[in-house]
Amino acid sequence: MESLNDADIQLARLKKRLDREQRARAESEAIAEKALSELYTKKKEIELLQLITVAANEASTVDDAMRTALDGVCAHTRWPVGHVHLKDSAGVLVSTSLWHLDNSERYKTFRKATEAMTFVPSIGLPGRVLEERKPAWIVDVTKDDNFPRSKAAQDTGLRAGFAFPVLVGEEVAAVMEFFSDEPAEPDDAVLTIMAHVGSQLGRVIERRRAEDALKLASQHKSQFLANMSHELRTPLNAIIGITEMLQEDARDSDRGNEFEPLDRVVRAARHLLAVINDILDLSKIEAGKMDLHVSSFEIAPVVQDVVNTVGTLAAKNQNSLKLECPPDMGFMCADQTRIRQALLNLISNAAKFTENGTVTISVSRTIAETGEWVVISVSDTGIGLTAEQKGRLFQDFVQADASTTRRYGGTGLGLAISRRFCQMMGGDITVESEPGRGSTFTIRLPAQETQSQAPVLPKSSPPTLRSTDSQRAPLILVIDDDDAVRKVTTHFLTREGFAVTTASGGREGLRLARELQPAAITLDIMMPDLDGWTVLAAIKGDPATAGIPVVLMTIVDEKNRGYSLGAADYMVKPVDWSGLSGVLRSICKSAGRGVLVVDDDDAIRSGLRRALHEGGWQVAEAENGRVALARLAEAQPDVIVLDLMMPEMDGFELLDALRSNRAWREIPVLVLTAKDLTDDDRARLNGGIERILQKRDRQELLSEVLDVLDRCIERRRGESIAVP
Amino acid sequence: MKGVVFNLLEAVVRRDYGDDTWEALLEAANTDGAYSSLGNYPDEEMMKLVGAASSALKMPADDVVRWFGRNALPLLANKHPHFFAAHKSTRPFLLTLNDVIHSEVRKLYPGADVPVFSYDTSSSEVLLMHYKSPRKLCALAEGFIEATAAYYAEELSLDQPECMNRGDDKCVLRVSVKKARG
Repeated sequence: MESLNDADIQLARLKKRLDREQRARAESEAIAEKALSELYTKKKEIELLQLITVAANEASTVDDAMRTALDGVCAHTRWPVGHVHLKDSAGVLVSTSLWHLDNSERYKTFRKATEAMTFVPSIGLPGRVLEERKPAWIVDVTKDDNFPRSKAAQDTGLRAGFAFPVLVGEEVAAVMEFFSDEPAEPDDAVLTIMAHVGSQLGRVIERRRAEDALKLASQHKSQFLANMSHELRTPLNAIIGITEMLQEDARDSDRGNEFEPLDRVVRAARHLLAVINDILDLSKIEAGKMDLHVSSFEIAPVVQDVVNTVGTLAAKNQNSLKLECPPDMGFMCADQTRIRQALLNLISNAAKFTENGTVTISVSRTIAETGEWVVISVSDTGIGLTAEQKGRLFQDFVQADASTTRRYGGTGLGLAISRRFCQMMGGDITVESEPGRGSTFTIRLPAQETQSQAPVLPKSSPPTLRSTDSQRAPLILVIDDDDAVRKVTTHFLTREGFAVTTASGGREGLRLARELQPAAITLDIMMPDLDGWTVLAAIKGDPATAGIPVVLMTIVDEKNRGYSLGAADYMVKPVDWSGLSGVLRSICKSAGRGVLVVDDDDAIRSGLRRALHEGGWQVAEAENGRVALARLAEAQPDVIVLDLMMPEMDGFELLDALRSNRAWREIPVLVLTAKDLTDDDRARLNGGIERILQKRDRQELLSEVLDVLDRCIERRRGESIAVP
Repeated sequence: MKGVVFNLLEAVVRRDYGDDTWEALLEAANTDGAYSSLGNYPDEEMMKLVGAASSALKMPADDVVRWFGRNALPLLANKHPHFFAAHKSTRPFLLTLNDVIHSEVRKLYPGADVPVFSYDTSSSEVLLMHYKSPRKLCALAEGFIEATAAYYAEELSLDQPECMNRGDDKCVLRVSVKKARG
C-alpha cells in the first residue's frame, strides 16, 4: 500500500510538473508570436520608410514625393484618406490637390469641405500640428471640439485622424493628415514612424528650395551677363564707329596727324571688345548656351586663310610661317568659325611667344578606331613651357604665368575657349613642349561631326524685295534704341548708297515700317520698349510688312532664333559695315541707285559700268548730251557722271539743260574730264557740280568716282530724308 | 529576471539534489514554477527560491547563489562553447562580458536586464571588476568567475574589497589568476 501511495505521490508530482511545462511552453509560444508580430510591424515600418526615402531621393518634384508618401502611409495604416496642406507665405495652411482617397466618390463631401478651408495655427487638426510642430492624434474627429470639419467627417463616416508636420529645420512647411473609418486609440509606433516620414519629406522640400535658389541665382547671373555685355558693348560700338568716322574725316581733310591716335583708339577699343567677347564666350560655354554651326567645308582653304590673316603678326617678331597642308586634304564637317578661331588663337600665340623662329602649321588626316580625324598642329621654336606651366595652360583665366599677361597681352582665355570648342566638336587640343625649345599645340577633331549638337536651322532665303520707288536709293529702316548706333549706321549706310530712316524703339519702328515700306529693316534686339524678337514677330505677322526683309543687328548671338522668326540675316555687333552693306545690297539689288554715265568714250563707259555695277549702282549710259536728255526723261538717276568734251551736245550744254529743268536741277553731277579746265570753263560750271575729276590712271579714277558718288548720295539723303 | 535563469537553477538543483528537492523548493517559495526561458519573472521569485534553498540546505543565501553560479556556468559553456573557445584564459574572457557575452544575451532574450561591469585593468596581474546592481547578486558573479577559472584550468584568487551587501555603494571583484600547476 505504501509503495502504491508513493507511486501516487510520484504520479501527482509528474502531472504537476507536466502541467507546469505545458504552461511554460504556452507562454513561450505567446512570447514568440508577439515577437514575430512586432517583427512584422517593424518590417512594414522599415518598408514604409524605405519607400519614403527612395521617393524623397528620386522623385522629380515635391508633389511626387508627397503623393508617394500619402499612398505609402495609407497602405501602412490601412486608413482610407490622406491629404497634404501646404503652408503659404502668410503662415497659413492651405489645402492642396494632393489626396489619397480609397473611394473618391464616398469622401467627396469631406474633400470639398477640406479644400474650402485654410488653417491658422492651433485651429483644427492641421492647425494644431502647425502650432505644436509635432504629430497629433484624434480618437474620433466627430466628437472633437477642435475639428471644424466634423460635420463633413460625420457625413462621410470618417472617425479617427492623425496628422504630422513636414519639417524643414524647425519650420513646418506642410502638414499631412490621415483619417480612418473607425475611431482609433493613438498608436505611438505609427506616430513615431510618421515623424520620420515628415522629416524625410522636409528634406525634399529643403533640397528643392536650395535648387530653386540656385537656379534663380544662375538665371540672375545669366541675365546680369547679358545686360553687362549689352552695357559694355554698346558704348564700345559707339566708340569704334564714331572713331572710324573721325578717321575718315581726318583722312579726307588731309589731317593725317590725327589719324594715328584715332587708329590707336580703334585698336584699343577693338581689343577691349575682344576681351569682353572672350569672357562672354566662356560664360556661355559654361552655361551650355554656346551653339555650334556645323557644316561641311574644305579644309585647306580655311587653314590657308587663317595663316594669311596671322602673317603680319608673325612678321612682327621676325618669324617665318610654314604651312604644310596637302591641297587634297578634302572636307570636314564641323563649325568652321570655331575652328578658325581656335587655329587663329594657336598660331597667333605661337607667333607671339617666338622670336626669329619658325611657326609650322601642319594638317593631316588620320584613321583611328573611332573614325577619321583631322589633325592640325602648330609648332613653334619659341620660349616653350615648363611642366607646371603646361598643367595650368588650359585652365580658365590662367596664362603660363602671371607676368605673361603683362608682357605679351591677351586675356589668357583664348586657349581655354579654343579647347572647349574643340571638345564640343568631339575633339581636343593637346600640347607638347620643352622650355626653350618650343611648343607644339595639336587640334584633333573628328572629320565627321560625332556629337549631335543643337540642330542648326536652315537659313531662310532672304525674301525678295518689295517694289519700292525705283528712282530712289533703297530705303533702309534702322531700328535701334541707341542713338550712337543709329548715327553710325546711318552714316555708313548712306555712304553705301542707301537711304536711311531711323526709329529709336520697337513701336516707332513698327509704325514706320508700315508707313514707309522700307526696302529692308535693320533691327536691334535689346530695346527697352519692345524687344527685337517681339518687333520681328510683329513685322512678320503683319501682312503689310511681312515681306520686308529684316536684318538683325545685335550683340545677342542667337542666330537660330532669329532665322526661325524669319530674319533675312543676322549680324552680331560690332557690325562689319561692308558685310552689312553687302547683305543689304543683295537684299535690295533689284532696286539699286541709279547713275547716268554720259561719255562718248566706250572704254570709259564700260569701265565705269562694271565698277558701278559692283558697287550696287544701276547704270544708264549715254554717249552724248542729247542721248542723256532722252535717258533723263525715261528715268531720273540719282547722280550723273558727265564728260565735258562730247560730240553733238557737250557737257556744258547738258549742264545748262539740267539747270533749266526744275526736276533735274538737284541731281548731283560729277564731271569727269581729260581737259585742263580754263578759268572760263570753271565759271561755266559754276559750282553746279559735285566734283571735277581728271581722267588719269583708270583704276584710281574708278575708285574715286565710286567714292564721290557715295558721298554725294550720302549728302543728298541727309538733306532729303529727315533722320528722326 | 529572465526565465532562462530560473531554468538554469532548476537544472542544477534537479541534477545535484533530485527532482523532489526542486518540487519542495517551489512549494516552499510558493511560486507557480512554470518558467519559459523567454519570459520575464519578478526578481522576488528568484529571491524566494534562494531563500527556500538556503533553509533547506542550511546554507547562507550568498553561498547558495555562489553555488548556483559555479554550477550553472558549465551548462552555459556547454550550450555556447564558442564564447569560451575564443579565449585561453579567464581574464580576457571576463573582459568580453559587456561587449560580447551580454550583448548576445540581449539579442537572444530581448529585455534581459544584464549588469554592466566597469573594469580597472591598470594592473596586468589583478583585474578589478566594478559591479553595481539593485539585485546585489555579486555572489552569482563570484560563482561564475570561479567556474570560469576552472574552465580554463587556472588557479583563482578572488575577493571583494568593496561590497554593496556590506554597505558600499558598489561591489568590487578583485580577480587574479595563474595557470594551475601540472
